[in-house]
Amino acid sequence: MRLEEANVLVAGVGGQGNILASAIISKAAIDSGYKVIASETFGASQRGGAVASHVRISRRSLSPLIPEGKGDILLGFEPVESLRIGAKFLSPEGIAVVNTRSIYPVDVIIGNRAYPSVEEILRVLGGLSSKVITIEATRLAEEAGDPLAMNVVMVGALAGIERLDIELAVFKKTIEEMVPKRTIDLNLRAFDAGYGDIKKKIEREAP
Amino acid sequence: MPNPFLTLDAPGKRVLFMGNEAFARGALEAGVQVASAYPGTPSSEILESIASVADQFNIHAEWSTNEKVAFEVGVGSAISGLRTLVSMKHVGVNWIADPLMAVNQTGVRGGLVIIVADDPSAYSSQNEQDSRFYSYFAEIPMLEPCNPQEAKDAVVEAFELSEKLELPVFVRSVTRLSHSRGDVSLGELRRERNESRFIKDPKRWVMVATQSPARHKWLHEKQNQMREETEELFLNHLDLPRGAESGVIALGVPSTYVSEAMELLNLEDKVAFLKIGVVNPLPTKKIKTLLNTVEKVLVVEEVEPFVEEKVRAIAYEVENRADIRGKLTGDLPREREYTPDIVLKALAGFMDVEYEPRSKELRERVREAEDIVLPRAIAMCPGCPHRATFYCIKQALRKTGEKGIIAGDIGCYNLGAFPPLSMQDTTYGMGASIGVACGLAHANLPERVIATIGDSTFLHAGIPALINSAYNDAKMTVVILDNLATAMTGFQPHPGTGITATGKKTVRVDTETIARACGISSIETTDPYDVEKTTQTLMRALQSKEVNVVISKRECALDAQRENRRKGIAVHPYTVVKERCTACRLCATQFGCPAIIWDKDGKADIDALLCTGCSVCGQVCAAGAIVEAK
Repeated sequence: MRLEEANVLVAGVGGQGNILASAIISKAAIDSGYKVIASETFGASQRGGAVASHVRISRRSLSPLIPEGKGDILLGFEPVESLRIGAKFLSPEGIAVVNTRSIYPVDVIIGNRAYPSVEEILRVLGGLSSKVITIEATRLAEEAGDPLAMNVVMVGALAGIERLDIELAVFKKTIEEMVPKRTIDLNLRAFDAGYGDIKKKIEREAP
Repeated sequence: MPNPFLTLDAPGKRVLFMGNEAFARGALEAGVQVASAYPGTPSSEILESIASVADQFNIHAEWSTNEKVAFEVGVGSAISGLRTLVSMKHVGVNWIADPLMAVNQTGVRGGLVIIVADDPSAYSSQNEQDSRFYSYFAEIPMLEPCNPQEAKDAVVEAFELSEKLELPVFVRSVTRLSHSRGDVSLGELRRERNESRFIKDPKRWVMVATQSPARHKWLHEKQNQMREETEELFLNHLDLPRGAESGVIALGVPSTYVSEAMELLNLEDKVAFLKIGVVNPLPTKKIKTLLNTVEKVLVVEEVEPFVEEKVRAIAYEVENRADIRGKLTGDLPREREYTPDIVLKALAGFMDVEYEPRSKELRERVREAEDIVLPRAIAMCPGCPHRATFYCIKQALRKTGEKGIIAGDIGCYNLGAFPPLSMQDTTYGMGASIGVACGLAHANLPERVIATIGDSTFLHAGIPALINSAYNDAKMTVVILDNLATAMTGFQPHPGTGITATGKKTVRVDTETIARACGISSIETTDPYDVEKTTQTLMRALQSKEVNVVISKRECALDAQRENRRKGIAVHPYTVVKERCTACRLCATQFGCPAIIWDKDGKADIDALLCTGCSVCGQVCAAGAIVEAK
């Protein structure tokens, strides 16, 4: 089912590349005829804090942040960040794709807090949305040649759930235009890996 | 990698720009000839974008040593007739206030546009500050765009306005605009370039006592023309539905939240909406029309109730009794960035309608989720040399039996304030570490006073304070954390790097030489990745009777990683020898690198994907359990 307009959330930790991921999605949407506005909520301009991109794909001018409970799609780069952003912004009709690899906050590293179980996170997120799909995006990126390409695996996953009216070829062309030249092949492999993984999971579910 | 659309000559084509790129494109469309700035989030990408295409467009683009210098560079070129852009973050305007309050009275010949990016919520700043006050302080125009398209168009307009009025013109941004990305329809690139010529005119350009009041009068005479030129500008728009008894006035990004809230609350036909894009001078005719039509008005603006107060004054002037609401009446919060939901709630309250996006059951589930979610404090990166420096300062204090007060400064090392390091006791503004430390040193405190300051910040504003410390004999240690970059704002070069904004080699200014010239005789340089040597160096410094400087020098870990990737050099991560690890957690509780994690036995583990191979945790480990992976 393709959406007429879509509010997409990309939730992760600074340094995971969600700004590039949201820029790829934004540009692919513009090249598909949409109007786009996107922005981040974040702790600081460098690594380590929570970062969430709001990408709003539509036919009209919208504000740069998604109102609470109006998110259609959540790309979660990290389990706790997926729940943080999902709880606040995801609509009950929304869908979440979650990379299951955790990044521990400083409080966990120091030993002040325990990281919640990923199963628990997914259960609670499931109650807040219509569907949660998990993906080992970091592993798929490693297999594609570099764990840092996890963000592009997740863009592939977004293409795989087929909610946006953006052709696969447009996504791939956008990736070629936006990543450093020497990493184009790597990123296209990462995109295909994410796309393929999600397609397989959805087909398995189909009656 | 420069955005290829910055230079694209295709009017009408819709492309993706970050807000700051849109500002830069606006300047390119206006035929900008000189651009100067000092990096500062959220404004840095404006100059970065222009610098990336400067050679192609024959533009002089520079990172100046600080905002005041950047602005003075802009004054020099604008009074020579050139179109000039100076960009900065909000606190940068505090630095330019001195020259600004004179150039507003001399005026300019070439267009001089100042983009100032405020940071509501202080995401990357020491304070929240509403820079709109400066446009009234200096009595010059200020435009406030609301999205990337307006950002580009506002800069083009600002250049026109600046040359028409012969005044500098402000364009105000905020983080939400500078760092948002959206589609922008390109305009034409101005081919014409202003002629460069300095016309000697001491009565105008020399601001001395005898002639300054005359120039002030000239500025006041400009004010009427300012109003005439801006009332009907495209950035101002009044929508007056028939029969509306309520109205909203909104500026900047929050005006987009208002549009959306009106739609979600079904108020579009019931509420009048004045969107204002010119802060100074305000469109008073439109404001009066609105006030004379409706019974009550909600003013929606970010940071201070700036326009709200002015609307009250206008209402008084026309003897209007409309109920004017906003921050002053508690309808909207005084602090922090607005969100769509803050505006939705305020508008719903103002119009007495219901808005609740979630059912009761769903709200309970959200609460359950919030209980599980952990806070995620921002942290220095894995391998950050600053973490190693702070660890060594901590060790040196412990070993010398001294207690310390650490006056901090602006940059990544400010993250040293957070656990487990907790090594910053004060932070004010750029360069304030050394100045505040001078005062602490003269306060006869029992603690040893330490100032920590980064390389770029030292060059920006640390030098006068360091001279002061030597001149006035402030007993303290100044630690310059030199990571060879302005890292917090995105790795811009500075005079210590020997590279210009456009990537050209230039003179490299040496920190140690400067410190010596400031009158400091005791200066030692150390590598923070060598924990033992750095600790010893700091111990000597802390025990010294005179002001001294320790330069802790090591390239930013992110920069080093990027360079290694480019060259294909592999990282050699560290690993934990489990038999030796005693699970004492010293590496976490005293050092706290994000690459250190825990296994199920409570012993340390290292995330090989995050580890940069800096080796410092191996030196921190008392059991010798952390070694380079084979």
